[in-house]
Amino acid sequence: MTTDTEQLSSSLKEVYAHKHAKVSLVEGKPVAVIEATSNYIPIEEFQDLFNKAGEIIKENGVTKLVFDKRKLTVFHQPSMEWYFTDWKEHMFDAGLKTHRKILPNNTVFQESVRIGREKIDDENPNLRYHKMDIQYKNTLQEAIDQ
Amino acid sequence: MADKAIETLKKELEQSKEEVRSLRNNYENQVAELREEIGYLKEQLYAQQSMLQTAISHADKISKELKGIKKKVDKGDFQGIH
Repeated sequence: MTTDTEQLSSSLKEVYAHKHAKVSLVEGKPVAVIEATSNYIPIEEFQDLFNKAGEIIKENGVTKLVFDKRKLTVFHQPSMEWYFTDWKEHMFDAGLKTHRKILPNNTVFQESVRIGREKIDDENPNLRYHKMDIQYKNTLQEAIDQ
Repeated sequence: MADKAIETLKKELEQSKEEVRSLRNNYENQVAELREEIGYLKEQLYAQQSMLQTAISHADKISKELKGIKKKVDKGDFQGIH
């Protein structure tokens, strides 16, 4: 299920269309949604997307980010490492401390995320993302509300 | 008369040169786009390969752990299964 098919009680306003994703703001809430629209996001494009999203988040006082990865089929560890150790670290100062993720219904992808996350945790025990509220959800509405 | 013909030829030559420049630019842009796309596809293939290798190593690790548990069960060593 994607935002195209999922019934949402929240209204999303698309604010940025990227080659591999779209960034939306949830109306009336300090929540942003990044929805992957292709099955893989090359690392350069990934960094470009999140740097742009970072500007949107700062400009709009967003405190919660939902990353909808359901369209992705390929997991890329270096992208995830940069996302956790660099981007999230910078965004902590901007007040973004709540993260919700929606994973694809793909066991290999889900296991790769889990193993990749363990590796990042082991190598970076002192980074501030450990203080963030990071949870995985099944639907976009859940991710926005909970 | 000859001057006019030369002028016309010069103009045609200039137009042809411009057309060649434009075609070359288009070609170079297309090649650059294609190279970028190939680079992305290569990165995606490496990522896919790495993801599958991780999954295989993980499955292998679980399989070894299960074998270890089975040995303990076969020996009746239920204390060791924790």
